[in-house]
Amino acid sequence: MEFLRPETWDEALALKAEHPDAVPVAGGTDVMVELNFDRRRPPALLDLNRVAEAARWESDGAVVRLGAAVPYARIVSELGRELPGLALAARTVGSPQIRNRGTVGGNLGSASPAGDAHPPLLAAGRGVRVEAASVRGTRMVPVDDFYLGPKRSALEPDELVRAVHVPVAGGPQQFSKVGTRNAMVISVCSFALALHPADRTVGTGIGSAAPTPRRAAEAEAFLAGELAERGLWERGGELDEAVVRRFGELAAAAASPIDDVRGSADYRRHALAVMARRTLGWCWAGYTGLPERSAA
Amino acid sequence: MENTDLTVNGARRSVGTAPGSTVAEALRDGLGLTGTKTICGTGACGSCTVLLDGEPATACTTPCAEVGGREVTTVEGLGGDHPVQRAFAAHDALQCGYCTPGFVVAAAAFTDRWRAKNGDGEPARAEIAEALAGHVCRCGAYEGILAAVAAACAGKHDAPDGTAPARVEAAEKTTGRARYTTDVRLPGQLEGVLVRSPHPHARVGAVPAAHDGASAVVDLLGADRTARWAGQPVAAVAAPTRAAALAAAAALPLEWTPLPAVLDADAARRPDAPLVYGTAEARRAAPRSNEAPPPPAKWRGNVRGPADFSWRGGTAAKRIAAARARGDERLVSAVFTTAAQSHSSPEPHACVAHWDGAGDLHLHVSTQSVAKVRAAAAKRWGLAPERVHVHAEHVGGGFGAKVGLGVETVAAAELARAAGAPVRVVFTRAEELAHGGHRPATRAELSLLADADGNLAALTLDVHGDGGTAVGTNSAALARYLYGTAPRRLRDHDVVTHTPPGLPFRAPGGPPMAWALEQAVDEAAHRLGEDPIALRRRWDGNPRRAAVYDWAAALPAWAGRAPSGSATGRFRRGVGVATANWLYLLDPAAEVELTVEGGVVVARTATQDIGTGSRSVIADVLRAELGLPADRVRVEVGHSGTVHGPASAASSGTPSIGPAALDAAARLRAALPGGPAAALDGAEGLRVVGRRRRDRRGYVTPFPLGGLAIGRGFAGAVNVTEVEVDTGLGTVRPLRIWAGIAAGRIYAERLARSQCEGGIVQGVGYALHEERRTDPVTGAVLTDSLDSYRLPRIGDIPEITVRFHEEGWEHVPGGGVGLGEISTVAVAASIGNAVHNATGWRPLDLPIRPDRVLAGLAGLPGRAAPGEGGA
Ligand SMILES: Cc1cc2nc3c(=O)[nH]c(=O)nc-3n(C[C@H](O)[C@H](O)[C@H](O)COP(=O)(O)OP(=O)(O)OC[C@H]3O[C@@H](n4cnc5c(N)ncnc54)[C@H](O)[C@@H]3O)c2cc1C
Ligand code: FES
Ligand code: FES
Repeated sequence: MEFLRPETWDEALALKAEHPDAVPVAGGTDVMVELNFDRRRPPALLDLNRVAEAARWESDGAVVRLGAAVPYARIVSELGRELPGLALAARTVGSPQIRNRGTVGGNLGSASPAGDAHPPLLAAGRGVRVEAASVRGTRMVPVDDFYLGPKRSALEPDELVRAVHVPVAGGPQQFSKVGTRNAMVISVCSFALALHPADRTVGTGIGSAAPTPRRAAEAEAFLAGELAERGLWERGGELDEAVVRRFGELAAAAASPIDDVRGSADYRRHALAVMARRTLGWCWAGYTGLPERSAA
Repeated sequence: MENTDLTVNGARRSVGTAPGSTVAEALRDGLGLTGTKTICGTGACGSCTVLLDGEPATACTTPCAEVGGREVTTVEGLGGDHPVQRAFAAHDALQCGYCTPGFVVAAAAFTDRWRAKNGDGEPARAEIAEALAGHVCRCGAYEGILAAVAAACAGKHDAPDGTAPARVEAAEKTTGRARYTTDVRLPGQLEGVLVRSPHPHARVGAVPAAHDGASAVVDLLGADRTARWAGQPVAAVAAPTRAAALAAAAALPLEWTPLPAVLDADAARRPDAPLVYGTAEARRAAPRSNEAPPPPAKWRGNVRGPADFSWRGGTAAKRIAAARARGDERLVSAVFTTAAQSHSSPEPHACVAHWDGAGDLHLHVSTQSVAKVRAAAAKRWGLAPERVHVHAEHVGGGFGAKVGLGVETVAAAELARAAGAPVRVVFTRAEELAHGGHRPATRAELSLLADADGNLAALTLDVHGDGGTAVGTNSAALARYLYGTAPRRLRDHDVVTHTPPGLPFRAPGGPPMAWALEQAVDEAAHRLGEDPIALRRRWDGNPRRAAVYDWAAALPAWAGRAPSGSATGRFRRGVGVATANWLYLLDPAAEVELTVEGGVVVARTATQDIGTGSRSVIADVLRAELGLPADRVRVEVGHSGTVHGPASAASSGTPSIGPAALDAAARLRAALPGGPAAALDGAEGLRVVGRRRRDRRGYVTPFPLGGLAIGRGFAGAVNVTEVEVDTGLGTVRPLRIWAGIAAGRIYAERLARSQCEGGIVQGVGYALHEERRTDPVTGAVLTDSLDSYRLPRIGDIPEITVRFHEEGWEHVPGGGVGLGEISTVAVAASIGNAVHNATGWRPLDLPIRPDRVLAGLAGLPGRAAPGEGGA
């Protein structure tokens, strides 16, 4: 097995083109586990840790360009204002050790339905794009088109995730995850919610409850419609209990979960409804100026 | 191999590594820095934590080639005088010590950062727990760890305080110097791996005597040629590297003839089910899930039983049948189940075997009994016992799964003999979780009847153990010794299947019995309208426990608890109680040898310290009895070749070696008329042997069985637990746990407390998180990683209070008995009762999973509630 160590993106992309079966490594928290388990013996590893740009993020005030290899710990400490949903999700990933190493690029590379970065990315709005780069050029893949199946993504064999482009939050964003333990749990299921007051839309993301991360489109449309119809976007005020309940039901209905060692399908549906109601409560509190949960 | 340049603990080092290897491998195998442990190899346990440029990272998931140019700090690099290391020793934040280096490194980084930001002070419990969320301590030393980190942050350990730590080997364990079997590297050592059956039931052809790429191949199956569970070791292969051994093992030509298999207890009961054991001989050779020899019982197909422990069983059954016929509401009947629980010792099963030129066998082995390994090895390989040399300097836990001669030891010794070189066999975490042992799952049918005066009138309990290929369920039997002499029909049954064998696990049979009985007693109290502690105190009759009940009843949480089911709202709190009872066992042949060497009293016995603190118990007794300072006493355990020592099992270690050490001290005193402190220097070479003096009135057993005698009296415990149930998501969170323990005089108080806290932590895991599952189609164990098999972590454990009641054991020399088991028996039952108090719903199945809680609260159909049918 070879260990390839590019210093720049150009070198990295050239090496990936040359060795399409080389496995990229960012934090290694997924790749190395598979190697240790002897589940995988790739001919080469492509280490992205020397590519300085990969570990940087920048913002023009409207969109954050998040380098693929920025670890979760830095998302929590540096991006809580710009990307609050992602930062909240990042806080729940594994342990401090895993957050010091694990990255959103790696989460996208693995494309596991249980990945915690996916729901907040889906919820953050239609503008979220994965920057997929290769020697052939760069594609901006809308996040909705990125997930194709369990652990399958739209990346071509010669492509790498170079960055993710995420609109700066214009309203409250929340994330909730259930596990059976207090911390250090891969999610049984998770839910992200974002309110986008600028275009009066609602974003959602569901994790671990379908073959891919997905949004709850009907729940989004329903809530945005109710908020608009009742004039709540403008004047705030109490959310009707029936609206909250219906939103939870629609969120749960969007899932197609299975039974596995982490939880049953029924439990996942139930928990999704609870989490959707909870996150809506928190977001609405934030929107109407009450104290809200944050990652910091 | 390629060379990687690393900066480790400030020095530039070059290490040859295989491509794609990890920092953990480079440190342990390349540089001999074995303080860094690898419990899981998957980023999930934290034991391999190192600092990369000052930030904690798991070395097992970090590619070695990546860290060239970065600064790596290991536990060895902390030097030993970091405040956190001192604090861990001072607060006994460790037991077996195998997880300790990882905790210490992460805690040191946390403490330094926290103090830099906040100055000296105590961080909140939750903040420390969050920082250490990536770690697992199977021994359950979390209370000590939290206390240690808080004290280090408060600046209380910036300088040595001059006192010796409660655990005599604490410094070795906090610095990574302690050597475990997995750390042993002998010159020319080969790596051995086991070849395991892919089929749950198969006839296996001959194992070839040699194979390409293998230095040795050995057969592990013997004449029977039958594999009875998926994962059963059938052969072993050694090669110079693990990768080569794995490759040779995968390519080993073996002929498998798959046979029909039964994979769950229901299928095994059917009349036409394939038999796990077809002959009387095979049945006799069945492995056991219990320490004691299984009581006699008949076999019918795959069912063995009943093993009957009844006392006026016919009367009990008649009374219960009559009560059921008349619809007596003082009859409590229910079916309770428990899931299988994996031991998952932090140090896996491991052995390094070596035959010397004279034909002696040397075994470095992770074992709970140096003495048993030596005896069994001598027998198996036809050697005089003194030609088998067993070493277990430090042992990373066992919990019952490491008592005898294990397959890792047999394989290592056979391979070493065949290859003519030392061979090491170490289980992976996946092997450990799937095949390293588990507490069998159970199904208990229970009926309990109270009479019109509120006394216990009758009890019937049938427990069916599902221990895979293992037999020896001894659970219902344990209900014989509690709550007076009312008639009771107690029957244990085994249902064998083609799945991995269970092994004895800390208080074998106890927690499932308590799960059923203690919830039924709670329900009876509920029906009788009596306080559950008052009812237990009345029914119990054991005078040693009366004071414990009084203490429990006076706890403010108990006194202030609301009526069951009265809580409302999303988060509901409740408090539950449960009683435990446990046999007192001891090894009457235990001895402790004292020799004066260089002015120091050196104590030796062929026992071992698996984290239970045997070294410290002996040291404590000697220091106190001889009036010697810490540096004048040294304890050497973990080696054969000295006087007989007990197994670290069945809570028998301390009540065996404690009295033997007392006797040894008395003999030494007698031999040193001037008083030990003054006379030691002139007594070089003086040797005495202390024996385990007999208890007053002797033992229940006329002669020891398997080296153990049953003594008179029972250890007792009363557990009180407060929980909060999230009725939205179905999760149960323990908020406080109290345990009152009556086990006589306490040796080494802080360590005894650690033991009890550990038993409680394992009980919380059993109650809420741990559930070993097998694939119903293939029989393969699904929960073979620390992600799928959930051990309790530091944030899952609330504040624990342990209270010892020391009276009542005056007939035992030393005045005290063991604690390892009594502390874990009733924990889950107390949580079940607390959930009932919080919600009005009684959980019948373990673990108390969120989906079960929600189904229960919704009153979904499925299981019968107590009193509504059942057995
Ligand atoms: C103990 C433990 C706990 C965990 N807990 C969680 C959790 O709570 N939530 C969660 O979501 N995940 C969790 N994970 C999984 C893992 O940490 C995350 O998926 C993480 O985001 C992976 O990032 P990484 O940088 O370490 O990825 P790597 O392991 O380096 O890579 C992961 C995959 O992505 C590919 N890849 C990496 N970078 C790129 C790139 N730039 N372009 C294309 N492909 C790329 C790799 O080839 C590989 O297939 C846990 C893992 C462990 C070991
Ligand atoms: S061995 Fe590295 S985290 Fe468990
Ligand atoms: S001391 Fe933590 S696992 Fe033993």
